[in-house]
Order: sequence, then C-alpha cells, then structure tokens
Amino acid sequence: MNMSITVNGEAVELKELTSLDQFMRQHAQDGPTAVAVNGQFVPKSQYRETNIQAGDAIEIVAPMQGG
Amino acid sequence: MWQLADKTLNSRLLIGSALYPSPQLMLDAIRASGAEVVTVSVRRQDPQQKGGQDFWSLLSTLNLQVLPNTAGCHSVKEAVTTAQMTREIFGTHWIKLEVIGDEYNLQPDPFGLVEAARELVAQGFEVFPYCTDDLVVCEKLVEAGCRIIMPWGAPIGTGRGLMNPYALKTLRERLPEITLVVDAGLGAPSHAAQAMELGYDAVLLNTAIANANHPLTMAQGFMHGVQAGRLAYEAGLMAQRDIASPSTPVVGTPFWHQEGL
Repeated sequence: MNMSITVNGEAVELKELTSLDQFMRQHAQDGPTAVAVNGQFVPKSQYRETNIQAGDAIEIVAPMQGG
Repeated sequence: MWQLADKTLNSRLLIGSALYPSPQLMLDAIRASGAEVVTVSVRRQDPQQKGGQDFWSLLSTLNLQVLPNTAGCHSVKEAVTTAQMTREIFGTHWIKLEVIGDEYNLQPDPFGLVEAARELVAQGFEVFPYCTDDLVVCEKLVEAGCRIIMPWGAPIGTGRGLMNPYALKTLRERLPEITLVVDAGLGAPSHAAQAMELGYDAVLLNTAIANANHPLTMAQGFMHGVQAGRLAYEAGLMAQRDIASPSTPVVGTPFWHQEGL
C-alpha cells in the first residue's frame, strides 16, 4: 500500500508503513540532523515509536551558516 | 572577563558564520575577531551541501560556543520548533530568537517574540531575543524570563549603525541588570565602539565583516572597536560642553598681553 508524504516540501511515496527511525536511516545524511513532523519537533529518543502516517509533512534540518 | 548567561568570556564581540566568500575566510575572520561566541542556523538538509555537515565539521574545529538562531521564522510555532531542533543538533540550550514580523526590513514581531520567548524559557532555553529598541517590548521580554536582550542597531544587513542612540541609551538606563547586546545593523567598527560606549555588554554582527573586501582585517577592526568602546565606557566619557575650554594652561603664555590697557 503506497503512502504519500512530503519531505522538506517534496512529495515522496512510501511503499509500506515505516517508523521514523527506519525512515531516517534511509533519508537522513550523515552528521547531526533534527526532525519535525507536521510542525512538531520529534526528538531522536522518539524515532522508534513514531510511525509515519499518510499525508505527514516531514522536515529534516541540518547545520547551516547563520548570522 | 565578563559573564554571558552561564559562560565566562573575554571577548565582547559575537560573530556570525554566514556570507563569507569561502569557508577558510570564515574561519580566519572568526579567529581574527577574537570572538568566543558564533551564531549558526539550521536549514533543510540539502544533498548538494551534504546537509551542511561540511560547514559544521569545519566550524567545530574552532571549539567556540555556538548561538543557534531561528532566522526566517515568522510565527511562534515555527520559532519554537526550530529552537527545539537546534538544541538537539548543536547540543546547547542557547537560542537567538528571531520572529520576523515584516519581510521588507526584517523587523521583529514584538508580540510573537514575547510569546515565543515565554514558551522557550519555560522549556529551559536561554533566550537571546532579537528585538527592536522599544523599551516596553524589552521590558515584556524580561518579564517573560529573558536575561539577555538584543535590540537592533538598524535592520539586518543594512550597516547603518545605531539608528536611535537615544532609545538604546534609555534601554541601558532602564534595564541595568540585564545583559544588553546590540544585534544587527552595524557597518563599521566605530558603530560597535559607539554601542559599547553606551554601556552595552556586547555587540553581535556578521555582514560588516563577511562582506568586507578583507574580512580578516575587518574582523580585527571590529575587535579593536569593541575594546575601545568598552574601555571608554569603563573610564567614563567626559561631559560635553557648548563652549571651548583650553587644554593647555593659560598662565605663563608667552607674548601674552591684556587688550585694552
């Protein structure tokens, strides 16, 4: 069963129910990242128990220069 | 030495990490500035930039205190969520809180700022709010739990210096126990010196150094400007006068004669 979500504003199709932990292993790059799902921060300690739902909007952020 | 939140620092210059012509020039300029606190941010991970990891690896070699920001946030919810994400990424509870109310001049939204500050203080953050120089807004931020207030000198990136020295001076007089940092709008070391002469605890800037023809040299200029201004404040500026007063003793002036005798 395919599931449509958005990741950093881009449409993504998932083929099966996935935990945030599994999803991040596939999509997050090396180094520090952090995640918000539907505008809510999800700490790393909750990745395993968070299942991605159809229509979820996931934001993955990484360090960047800032002023 | 001075105290910024839970850190004891030597430098009163806080510096940004953006807009430098190259990563190496960023490192060199930050080192030359003597700054011990550097601002950083978070953005959507980008495969082209390896998620900003190269930048972070490089900056980490300086071993400085980082001050993450919520730049680009326009709502309380965005700012709070961004702050939570920066805390996990950078491992610090410090947050430079930006809630932008107007896109044209990047003017902070004072209402959203106070609300977000209150929420983040409750969550254990040390909140450094980027705000206007309005006294009442700053007082509300203090009531919300901020121990540090960062009024603008001028809008971000304009380099116009202190637009309203009167308002900044009033803030210093009315909030004597609060750490005050002029953030944004400084274009020249003399602007930094002026802020420090008013009794501000520090200044925060980025563009004036990063966009200089020689960022490293400008970083040194700002370092000296901040030091000069602070020394002047500690020494106490002389009172201004309307009428000239000779500095060289008058008694014994050669060729002196009294007119009209």
